[in-house]
This record gives sequence, structure tokens and C-alpha cells, in this order.
Amino acid sequence: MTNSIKKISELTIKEKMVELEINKKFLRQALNQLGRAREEKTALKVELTALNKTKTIMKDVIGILEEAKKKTEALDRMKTEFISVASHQLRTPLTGIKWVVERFLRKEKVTKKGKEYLKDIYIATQRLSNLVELLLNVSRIEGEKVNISLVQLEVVGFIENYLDECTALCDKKNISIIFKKHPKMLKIVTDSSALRNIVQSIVSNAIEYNIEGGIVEVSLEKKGLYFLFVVRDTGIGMPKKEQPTIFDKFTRGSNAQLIKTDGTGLGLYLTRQTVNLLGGKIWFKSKINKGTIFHVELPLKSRSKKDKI
Amino acid sequence: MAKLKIVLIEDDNILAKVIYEELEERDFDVNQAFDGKAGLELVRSKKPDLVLLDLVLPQKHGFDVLEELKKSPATSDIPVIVLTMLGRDDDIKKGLKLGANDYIVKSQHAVAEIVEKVEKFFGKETRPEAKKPQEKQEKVKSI
Repeated sequence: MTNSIKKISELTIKEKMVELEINKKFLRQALNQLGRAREEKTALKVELTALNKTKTIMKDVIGILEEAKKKTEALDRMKTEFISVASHQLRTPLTGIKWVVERFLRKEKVTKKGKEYLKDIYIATQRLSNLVELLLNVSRIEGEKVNISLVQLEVVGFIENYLDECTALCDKKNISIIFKKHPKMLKIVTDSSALRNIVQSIVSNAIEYNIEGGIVEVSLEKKGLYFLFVVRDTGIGMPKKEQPTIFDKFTRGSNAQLIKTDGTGLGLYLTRQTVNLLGGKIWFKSKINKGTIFHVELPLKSRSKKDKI
Repeated sequence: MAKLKIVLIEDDNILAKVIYEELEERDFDVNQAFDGKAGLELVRSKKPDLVLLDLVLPQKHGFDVLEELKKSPATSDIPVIVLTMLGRDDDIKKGLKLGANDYIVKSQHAVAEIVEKVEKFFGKETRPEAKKPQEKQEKVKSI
């Protein structure tokens, strides 16, 4: 009996020891896990601090960027405002010179040579005036100060009137203008000064970058809710690789530079902006030394910005 | 017949001088002011047949001058032509809304054309001298 009890006890003790051993193992494992968890926690804490730091930095960066954006916008407004004020202040003395010269030519007795000089002053001043007007128009369109004011007008006569004004410019290079009038009359609703700027820019380019004795062909046709104004010239054309950027600001064809040194590279930029303003499209085809053909598609009824909302 | 009276309110000396001389030569009786305040007083005292009014003026802006002229029964019937260098549609619309009879964007015209406009306003015949030289228009062929 005692022996058997002893045996059982021994067995129990062994079992208990095994059990203990297992518990110990579990405990060790648990301790290990705890240790790892602690390590992980520390690592997470470090990571969190780093993240918080990044967050703060990002906030700062966003702040700086927002500040920079505001500054850029303010600068842009200032630039536009400056051009607008400068243009206005330039116009007054320029008008003064023009008016005085005009009266001088009309009223005072001057020698033939004197008259020639006065006319030169007048032409140069006029050129300067045109440049100022161009800059003013660019600053206005960029400052989005343009409100289109819509009127009804007859576009065939409108274009014809402008072409008549080009006579002096054509005579210089013996250029002929052909106007294909189909239809003979077309009533549209548009902003007349914007339309004039577009017609003037395209036609005067066709004349000025034409060859001696060249031809400018102007046509007009109705196309659904739009009308298409096309100007084809026999001029110098545009180099192929420069064509994609020809509407960009301050961009001129390299061959244009050789013909006319006083261009600004703003003309076509402004023309496209103006066409967009009226809700139209402009595109062209050009071949060097052959000529250029410009297409301007404008709505028969332009709408003001307010209507578009 | 008595001369037609014009009050010219323009702050730029050169522009004022040229318009003044042109108008005097065409037999108008012209009185000048070089700022908005003086201009307003001059119109009140002279009661002219027409006011030529610049917009950007010292002392008082042309729009304010126009508004005050139109507000007072003593001067509200005097026609006003706005002379502007601004030429923005907004300004033109505002001028007309305030009661101006017409507007002229100075930089876009020869001085002769401006005087022509004044004469036309009074229904006078324009003298050939004031006309712009006509250019021949034969270059443009029509098909």
C-alpha cells in the first residue's frame, strides 16, 4: 500500500513537474511576447512621433505653399494692374503728341521736308499707340476684366469696312485683297470690338507677312450655329516645328522676325484669347514659303459670361 | 446769333489746349476748368450749351461731377459728352447710365474728329477741313 502510494505520489510529482515545466515554458514565451510587444510599442511610439513630426512639417509646407500661391496671385494681379495703369498713363501723352502734330500739319506753314518729318512723328506715335493698346488688351484679358458687350451687327459689311481700311497697308507691298462674299449679308450677335480685334489681327498678319504683289483671300460662310471666317495668304508661312507654339505669348515665327522686326509676339496669343471669349475656335494650316490659311469659327450668337453659368 | 457756350473740363494741359483751340476756331465760346471741383462750379455759373467732361480728374472724379450735374435741377438739362481715355465698356456704360449724352474715347480719335462730333451734336455742318483724309478703296475687290 505504502509502496503503491509512494509510486502514485512519485508519479504525481513527476506529472506536476512536467506541468510546471510546461507552465514555465508558457510563462517564458509570454514574457518573450511581452518583451516583443514592449519593443513594438516603443517602435510604434517612435514611429508615431516621426509621423507627428511629418504632419507638422507637411502643415508648414502647405502653409508656405498657400502663402506662395497667394503671393503669386497678388503679384499677377499687380502685374495686370500695373500694365493697365501704365497703359493708361502712356495713352495721355501719346494722344497729346498725336493731336499736336495733327494740328501742326493742318494749321502751320511748314516746308515740304518739315511736313515729312511731322508725318514721321505721327506714324511713329501711332505705332507706339497701337502697342500700348495691344498691351492694354492683353492685361485686360488676363485680368479677366473683359465684359463682352453684345450688339447685333451685319458681319459681311463689318469685314468689308475693315478691309477698306487696309488699303494703305496693301499699297506698300502691292497686295490685292479678294473678298468672297457668300452670303452677301449675315446678321450676328457679338462684341464688336472683340470681333474687330480678331479680324484686324488675322488680316493684317496676312498682309504684312505676304510677299511683294501677293494675294489675301478672305471668305465668310455660315455653318450651322456658327460662321466661318477664313483668311488665306500667299506669304512666308510658318516653319513646321514652330507651328504648335505660335499661339503662345511672346512667340513669333523665326522667319517672321526677319520680315518685321517690331512684332511683339502677342498678336495671335490675344487673338486666340479673344476668340475663346466669344465662344469660338481658331486654327490654321501653313506651309513655309507657300502661305498660311487661318480659320476662325465664331457663334452666330455669342453669349456673355453670365449666361454661360 | 450768340456763340454756343462750351465748358471743357480736362486736366491734361496739352489735350485741353488742343481741344480748346480747335473749338475756338470753330466759333464756340469755350471756358476751361482743369479739375472736377472747379469744373462743376464753372458749369453752375456759366450754364453752357454743352459740357465736355474728362473722367480721371483731380479734386473730383468725372463720374461724380456728372452725377451732381444731373442731380441738380439747375444743371440737369445741360448735355454732357464724356471724354475718356479709359475706353472700357464698363466705364462707357456707367457714363451713359449717369446721364451722359455721348462719350468719346480720346486715344482712338484725331482731334478733328472730336470737334466734328461736337459740331454734329449741335447739328452744324462739318467743314471739309475737319474731315479725315479719305483713302481710296479700290484695292478691295469684291466677288
